[in-house]
Amino acid sequence: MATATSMSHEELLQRRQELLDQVHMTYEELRDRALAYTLRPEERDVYEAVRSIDYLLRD
Amino acid sequence: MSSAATANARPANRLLQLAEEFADALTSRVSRVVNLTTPFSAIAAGSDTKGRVSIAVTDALLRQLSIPLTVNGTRRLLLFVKIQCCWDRSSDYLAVDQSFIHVRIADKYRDEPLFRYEFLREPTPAVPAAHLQVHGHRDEFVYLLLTGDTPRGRRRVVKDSVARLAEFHFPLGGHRFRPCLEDVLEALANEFGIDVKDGWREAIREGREEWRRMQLRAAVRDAPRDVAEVLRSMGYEVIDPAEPPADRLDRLQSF
Repeated sequence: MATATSMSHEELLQRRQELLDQVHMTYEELRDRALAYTLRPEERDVYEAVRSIDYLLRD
Repeated sequence: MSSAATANARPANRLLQLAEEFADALTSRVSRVVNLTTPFSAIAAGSDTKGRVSIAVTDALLRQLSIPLTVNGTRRLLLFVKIQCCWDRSSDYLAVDQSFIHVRIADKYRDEPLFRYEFLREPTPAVPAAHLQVHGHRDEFVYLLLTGDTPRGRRRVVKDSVARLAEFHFPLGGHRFRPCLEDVLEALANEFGIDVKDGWREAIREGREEWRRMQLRAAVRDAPRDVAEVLRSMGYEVIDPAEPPADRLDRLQSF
């Protein structure tokens, strides 16, 4: 991917859902497993991405 | 990390441009030390109106990846680096808002880090802005975390959560004097013997010098009268401005 990418609010929300779909979890399930350190590496990658999207979208 | 803006503050895409430079610098620096197959990338929301950007090793699906580290050619560790940036107070510079440097064992069934270096520009009162959390077991730590009558301890009791050593935030010098990524990389090389490239020490030294000079410049703004006094004692002629800026006590005094 490009070194720097700008995505619209809607695009980020869509990507967030696609990421969650990849790991077949709701955000709450993913977060709870992250906090318990029971994620697999590929799930951890998704969790960090979702957290970053939430950071970018935060008011 | 901080980059000076050249023109008016906050022009369109300026944040993204600064973030791109930062991501490229991270890629360049880290790839001189260890094998880096995917570069650092920056992602921002829409225009730069929110003024936030997230930088990490990122794939095409936007997943934020850890960097595999090898020891004697065998994959042993995962290094996760994420830096969230925002505009600084003057909206002229890219400031680090949050940073995360996590080190894990490269094991698909063990997600818990060995340790975490983190920085929060606006932390909660009981948490130091720059801190280290070590994931391990020590009964005495757990006992003491439960014994003290502190707000964090009381919250733990209310939530009925188990105290862990990793909940102790070791303070690391506040906003200005915290360690940099190069410090962590060198520690991993020295202590764990991760595989490094020829010339890695030079890259580490250059990166650390760049970091400390940048932090020094920021620290100067926190206490300009002290800086002027030191410079005068060294023979420099320093003229006070008509309206000297106040010390940044929020930075000098913060945890």
